[in-house]
Amino acid sequence: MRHNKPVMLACAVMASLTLAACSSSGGSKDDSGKGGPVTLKVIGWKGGATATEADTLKSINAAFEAAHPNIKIDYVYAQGDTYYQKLNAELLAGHAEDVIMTQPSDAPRWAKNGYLADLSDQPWVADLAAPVKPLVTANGKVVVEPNELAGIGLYSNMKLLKAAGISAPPATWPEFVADLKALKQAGQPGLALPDKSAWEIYQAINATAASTVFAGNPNWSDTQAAGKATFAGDAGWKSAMQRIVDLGTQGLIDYKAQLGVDEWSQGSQDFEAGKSAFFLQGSWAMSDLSKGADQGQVRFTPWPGADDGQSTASTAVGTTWGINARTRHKAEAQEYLTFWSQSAAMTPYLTAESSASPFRSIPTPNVPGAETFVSTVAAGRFWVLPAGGWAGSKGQKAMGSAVQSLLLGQSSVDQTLQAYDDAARN
Amino acid sequence: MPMRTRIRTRTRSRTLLPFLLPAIGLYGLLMVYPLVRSISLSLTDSEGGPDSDFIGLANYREMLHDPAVRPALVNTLVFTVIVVLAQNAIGLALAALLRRWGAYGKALSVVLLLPALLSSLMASYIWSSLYQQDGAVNSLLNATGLGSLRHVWLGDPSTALYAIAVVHIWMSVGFAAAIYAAGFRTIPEDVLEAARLDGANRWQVFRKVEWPMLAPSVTVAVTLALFGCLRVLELPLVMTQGGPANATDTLGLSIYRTVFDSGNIGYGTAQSVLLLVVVTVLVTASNALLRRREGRVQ
Repeated sequence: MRHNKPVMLACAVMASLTLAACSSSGGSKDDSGKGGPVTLKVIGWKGGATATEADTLKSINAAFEAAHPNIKIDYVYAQGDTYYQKLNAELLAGHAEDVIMTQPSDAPRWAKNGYLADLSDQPWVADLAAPVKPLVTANGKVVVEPNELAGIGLYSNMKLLKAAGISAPPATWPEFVADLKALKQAGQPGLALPDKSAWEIYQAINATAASTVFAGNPNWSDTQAAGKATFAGDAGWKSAMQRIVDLGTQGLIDYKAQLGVDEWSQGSQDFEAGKSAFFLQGSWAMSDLSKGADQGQVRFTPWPGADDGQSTASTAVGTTWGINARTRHKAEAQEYLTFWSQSAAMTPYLTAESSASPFRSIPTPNVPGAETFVSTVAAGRFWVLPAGGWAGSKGQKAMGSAVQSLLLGQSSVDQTLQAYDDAARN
Repeated sequence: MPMRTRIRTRTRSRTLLPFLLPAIGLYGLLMVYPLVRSISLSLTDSEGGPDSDFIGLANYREMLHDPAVRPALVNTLVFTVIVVLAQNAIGLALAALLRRWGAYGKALSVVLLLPALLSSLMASYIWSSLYQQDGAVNSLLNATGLGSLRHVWLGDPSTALYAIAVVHIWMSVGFAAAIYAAGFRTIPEDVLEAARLDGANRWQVFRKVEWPMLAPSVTVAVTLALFGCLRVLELPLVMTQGGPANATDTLGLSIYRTVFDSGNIGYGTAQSVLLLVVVTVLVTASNALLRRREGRVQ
């Protein structure tokens, strides 16, 4: 009998541990009750990095709540890399937020995993601009709603340019090279392409290719995906890459120094502080870059990749909203996305992001300093970076690393373009 | 063994078993199950969703041909060798020095441990700033007349990995010094006194008496350092993102990118199984060698 006590004690401990492990946690609770307000949980990586972002998201969400008194928005901001760690774990566990911010490159994978609701029947789908629709579609279904057509282009500090006798940002490649030489001669800082994340210079080549490849062949990516075109075999890609390399060999930029600088933090701060006259970044940075010491002196224009005439703007579908397929508030989530397709949300967001509208009925707002970019997109001279295929996240990383090797003298342009083809195949 | 003793032993085992069950259960749940689940995931094409197909060893075959995996493995091993050697050599030297400084030495040993209290993320951001072209490291070189040594520490593939290694050593050398300091305290004073009376100088005392008797401390310090270095992730993630040109890419970083950036859970867990094998082989081998050395010297 006396041996039963230890056995009973051990059994009690095991039972309590088992109960604790099996207890359910998380999962969205239905708090609507009968007639009560619904709390819609929304997660995004916008709304906390800068004051402008935070204020914009707050005001849009407040406007939504004012227009929908029965819905309260609980916005969760998660920054950068932690965003995906948090969200991937929540999606796997089945208790992610009701509305989730996504990148177009994630949408096909998440849709395939059953994480995203089908939005094909939503009223805003018919209003999508034609170049945008393929990027928000997976397996024939619209799975995310685009918030913007962000530009990736050239920031110019007009104060530094004027000090070198330059009156306007360059519109063509020969003008760009001439401006860089003039800046160097005048002892002014030149071009910054910080590339710690292997994103910036990869995008500079893409932005150049917008003019050298996609201006004359807008369907090149589809041709490449069908196996009928290669990077290594395309003169336009070779020209785009060689131009970037030549900036270094001509002494107009020190690439080795650039590879150690983070494009998302230090690079932007350096431009704001007047340490570079030219800088490549997304249009989303305009609000904050133009608030630096040289306020009002910043211009955002298409990257000057063309030889003559006008360059083609490089754009990308930036943030998008998806609805969690497991949400218990599907109707409310759809109302949120519908609100975001209207000018009450789009106009302030596009203004803050200095981006173009992805909807045909919503005009792109005029942002001081970005007039040339806006008019270029309005004239139809723009190219949209693919969401998947060769521009998917794995390919982007491999290509970015290959470009770093090129600029460090470890490979040639032809070898790098071959590496691009290898990365695109994988 | 007499019958009564055997019965008592069996009875005792039966009594103890229920007390071991919770620990065994927890170990199974937290260690064995995740390991088995990871290995099974590595045999699928899982991208995190509820459905995935069994693909056998396809992920492992892909690893053999992935141009990113071999450099990551090589970088991890090079980083490990540099950090383990430097961390233990410097830690041992510091412990030997601090031992001679009495109370001041004890106070300094606490100061040496301060970097270990920082999170790796915090240390990464601090040192990223120090390593900038116009950062403190280059400024110090300028100020001390060594301006010719100014460098783009994190942007040059020939220095980036070593620059990150310096940070890891800075963070962990205090910990190694504490292990060796504890080891020094276990050496009987009369043994050292006998050696000195026999005419041994300072170096001979260290080489012939202290170093052999520090064998257990060496085993602990080297094993712990190996564990930490082979799994390195935060430092290259924040400081260089694995660049420039994959010069600081590590297996840990490759796994992180594959799982969280590409969402390729199956392939990512296959790489993590590779890392597990590397860690197990290296730690087991080094532990066996060091334990054998312990046996020889004692």
